[in-house]
Amino acid sequence: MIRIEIDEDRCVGCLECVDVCPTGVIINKNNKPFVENAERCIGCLSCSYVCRADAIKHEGIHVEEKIVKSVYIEEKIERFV
Amino acid sequence: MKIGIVKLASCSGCQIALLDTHEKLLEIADKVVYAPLIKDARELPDCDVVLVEGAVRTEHELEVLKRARERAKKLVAFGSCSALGGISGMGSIYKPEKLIEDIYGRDLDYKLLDFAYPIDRFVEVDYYLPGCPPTPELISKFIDGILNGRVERHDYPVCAECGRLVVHTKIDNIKKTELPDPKVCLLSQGYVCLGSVTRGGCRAICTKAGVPCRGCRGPTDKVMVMPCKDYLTELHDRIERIAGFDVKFNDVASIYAFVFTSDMMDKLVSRIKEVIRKGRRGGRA
Ligand code: SF4
Ligand code: SF4
Ligand code: SF4
Ligand code: SF4
Ligand code: SF4
Repeated sequence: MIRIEIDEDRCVGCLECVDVCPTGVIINKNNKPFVENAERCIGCLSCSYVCRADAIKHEGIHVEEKIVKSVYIEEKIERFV
Repeated sequence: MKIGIVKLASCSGCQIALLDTHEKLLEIADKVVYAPLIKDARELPDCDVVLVEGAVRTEHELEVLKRARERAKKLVAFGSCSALGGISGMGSIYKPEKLIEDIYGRDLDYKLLDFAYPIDRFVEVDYYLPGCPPTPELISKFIDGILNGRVERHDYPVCAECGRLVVHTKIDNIKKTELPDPKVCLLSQGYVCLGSVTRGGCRAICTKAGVPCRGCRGPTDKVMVMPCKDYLTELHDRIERIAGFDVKFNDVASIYAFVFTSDMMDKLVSRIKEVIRKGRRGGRA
């Protein structure tokens, strides 16, 4: 079961996550994103991808984050504080 | 614990920011064994931690850096010049010969490297603490982290700390001079704010003061790992979505100002170094 959490303190209200979700999981509620139908989430991570504030967290997704990582950069990235 | 501070091509601003940590500085003062600005030791001894400020611009600096690496258990790229090229890296948009001719007007007895590089081009780096300069708060937290072995990362963008809210607008030009609305996202208002692509942790001091983020902390984790995320495409995309206008950036170099000599931006889509190398200005520096 996928759980989605939106960190309200981080969110700047751009609603890009609402626009991008292909299955209508995140809806616009009084100009704020709201997780309405978590069970419909297909785990595409598009919302988290467009979120400029890194405010959306998913748990329980069965696939790895589908991002291409360069080994060189991946090695170094953890050292950036 | 012995701490050393080494200066390469830099403005010393990062060391000044370290002085601005007040109590934290007092706490570590007796641990600092070498620091040109605050101690008069001549030689860098073996240290537990060496903070390197500045980019590598000359062959001499390269030697200093290599010696620092040999003597440091942990080497820290302190500030954006050192971590990403930063302001010193910006000089790389001019050819080295041109810089020397215009600034010194004579030959130098040392050689400039082709670019002003971040230090990780030459040596292994254990921690990067970007920022121009990193805020005293960031430095204090980092020092605490080093002392107790738990360094906290900031993997979120500046937007997460900004507190301004996005409003969907329709504008037709980039703004630079007018006073912005204090509550609304600067991108919505037509200012080119790099907050969404820039590593947070600075508490968005610039946008809170009404000044767009210039990206001094360098790229976020996302921008670094995702090949299709790049400053230009991200900013273009966001401005189009929220302000409804197709922005043509005519000064690309200023968007990548802090990062373009860093390998961290050498992804499939970012050809910034190549572009700058090709179009290097031969004109007056
Ligand atoms: S994309 Fe992120 S910042 Fe924008 S509304 Fe959604 S959660 Fe908030
Ligand atoms: S991961 Fe995909 S399906 Fe799930 S909420 Fe985000 S955009 Fe919608
Ligand atoms: S990062 Fe900024 S403050 Fe630090 S040395 Fe470079 S130019 Fe100066
Ligand atoms: S783009 Fe700039 S002004 Fe807008 S939310 Fe992000 S940091 Fe704040
Ligand atoms: S808001 Fe941007 S430019 Fe200002 S300190 Fe933070 S990262 Fe640097």
